[in-house]
Amino acid sequence: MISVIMLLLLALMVTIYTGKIKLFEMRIARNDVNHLASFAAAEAGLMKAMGTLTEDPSWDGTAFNETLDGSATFTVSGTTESVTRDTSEFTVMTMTSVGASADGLGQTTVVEQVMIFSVLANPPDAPLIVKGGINVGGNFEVVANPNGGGTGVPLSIWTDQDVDMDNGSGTTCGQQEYSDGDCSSDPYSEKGFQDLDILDNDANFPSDMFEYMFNVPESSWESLRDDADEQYEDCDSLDANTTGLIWVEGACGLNAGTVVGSTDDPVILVVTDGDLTMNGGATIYGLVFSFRKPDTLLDFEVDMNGGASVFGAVASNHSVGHANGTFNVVYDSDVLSQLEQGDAFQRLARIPGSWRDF
Amino acid sequence: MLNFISKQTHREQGATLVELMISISIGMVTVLGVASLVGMGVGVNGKLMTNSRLSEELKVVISLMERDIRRAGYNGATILRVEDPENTVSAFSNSIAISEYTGEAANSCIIFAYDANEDGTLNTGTDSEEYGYRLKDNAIEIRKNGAACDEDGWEDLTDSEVVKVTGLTFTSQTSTNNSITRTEIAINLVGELDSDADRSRSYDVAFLVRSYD
Repeated sequence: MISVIMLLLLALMVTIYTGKIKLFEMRIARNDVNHLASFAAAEAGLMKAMGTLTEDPSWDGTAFNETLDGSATFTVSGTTESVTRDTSEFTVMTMTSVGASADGLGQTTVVEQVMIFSVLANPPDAPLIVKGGINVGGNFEVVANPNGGGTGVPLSIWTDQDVDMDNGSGTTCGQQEYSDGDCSSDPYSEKGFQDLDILDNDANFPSDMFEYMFNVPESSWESLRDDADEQYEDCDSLDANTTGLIWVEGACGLNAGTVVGSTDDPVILVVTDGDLTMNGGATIYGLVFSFRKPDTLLDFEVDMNGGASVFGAVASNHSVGHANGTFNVVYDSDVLSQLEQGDAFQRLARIPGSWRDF
Repeated sequence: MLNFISKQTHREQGATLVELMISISIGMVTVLGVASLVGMGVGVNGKLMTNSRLSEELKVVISLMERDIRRAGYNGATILRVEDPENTVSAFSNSIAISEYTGEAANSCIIFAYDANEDGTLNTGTDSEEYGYRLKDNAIEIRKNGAACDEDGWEDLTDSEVVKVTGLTFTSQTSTNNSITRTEIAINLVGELDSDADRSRSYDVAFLVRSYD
């Protein structure tokens, strides 16, 4: 009898011990699940913060929270700081996301930094920037950047090759003269006289215009295209409400009177491997980049006929200008500063090596 | 005579020897039954425990490795790198390397580094920020003081008296998109009970290293 009781007691003790161990194991398993849930929620929080910042680059990092399916929650917030690289200024946001499991017992904090920058890395100093030279057989009117060559030093054309003003029939003038309608009568440079506002044969001209403008090497042009807000085969759908980075594959023709963009919401229009033709009175607010892909050999033209003009800047990585060609470019600092600061041109990049969960 | 009769009528009370033997036999059979039942229970429990121990040990160690390797490449001095990317190369970039200890299975050792104290410099020596895991002598070892894969001085993570780790393989896969390279690490871990080679477990996990280079 006693031995039976002893045996039963032994069995009971072993069962209780196993039960305790199993309970402990269950707790470990639950902790694991909680950790996974809170980690996933924290990661979701980071993604949400990045999405928020992409949609609204002016988000100041004010904390917000959300409950996910399965009741896990996250709270995400951000702090910004300004970072200077060479002459450009970036905003770096440190995003902190705290994820919690449904029962609140598991909590994970992940931190990652992102850089907010303008798609336009270097706003153009001159209203007309051309690599490969300008054929001045045609006609052009360029209104200079009053401070392009330093404070009070106007700059209207910047190129790596010679601009032959002895034979060309172009005119460059100041902002005031342009608004007074005296561009041709009171110019900086004109046929037969080249002033210092035309910076040609410049040895310091960037070898890769595309990289200079967008901080993307010419050979990786696809990455800028993928970053574009819109991609088109032509320019038929562009109008005054168009803004952001517009990538056009092929020729771009604007009908008479068409206005693209505005001073407050300008465009960066990249026309690749195609002519840009603007007819009577067509106007573009923003930066026009005539881009020839690295493997393309053809030259493409930029024609602004019948008073069509660009307010902002025009750039090209290939030679432009032909006997009948015309350029009318008016440097517009409001438009160009909008290209740097406008929400539509802000892009987000995660900073490598900034992710941590400790 | 009368005395004999009276003795006859007062019969002896209690169990007979046969009854006693029968009852003792039944008792013994019962006790033996219960004992074998308890013994079996204890045996099953013991096996359950060691099985759990095997699973837990392997699960914990694979999860530890995952969480640690995921941090590879973290650098606390990110602002400096944003300011001057050309001249500030992170000491923690591309730190993941997979090899093996001499004589062990191929790709059973991984080394990497991350900035645990967030100061932007790679510490070496005693407070080393160089981490790693490897398989050696049927146990998982953790890297100490920046010792290389084929050097000694690592410490055991698993208890080789209970669990025999028979396989550990690290696989690294990189993908480049928009000139950004990301690394995915896969770990396969196989272990068995030291006391019973028939009881083995295999775990797989694959994850993205978050701080891409």
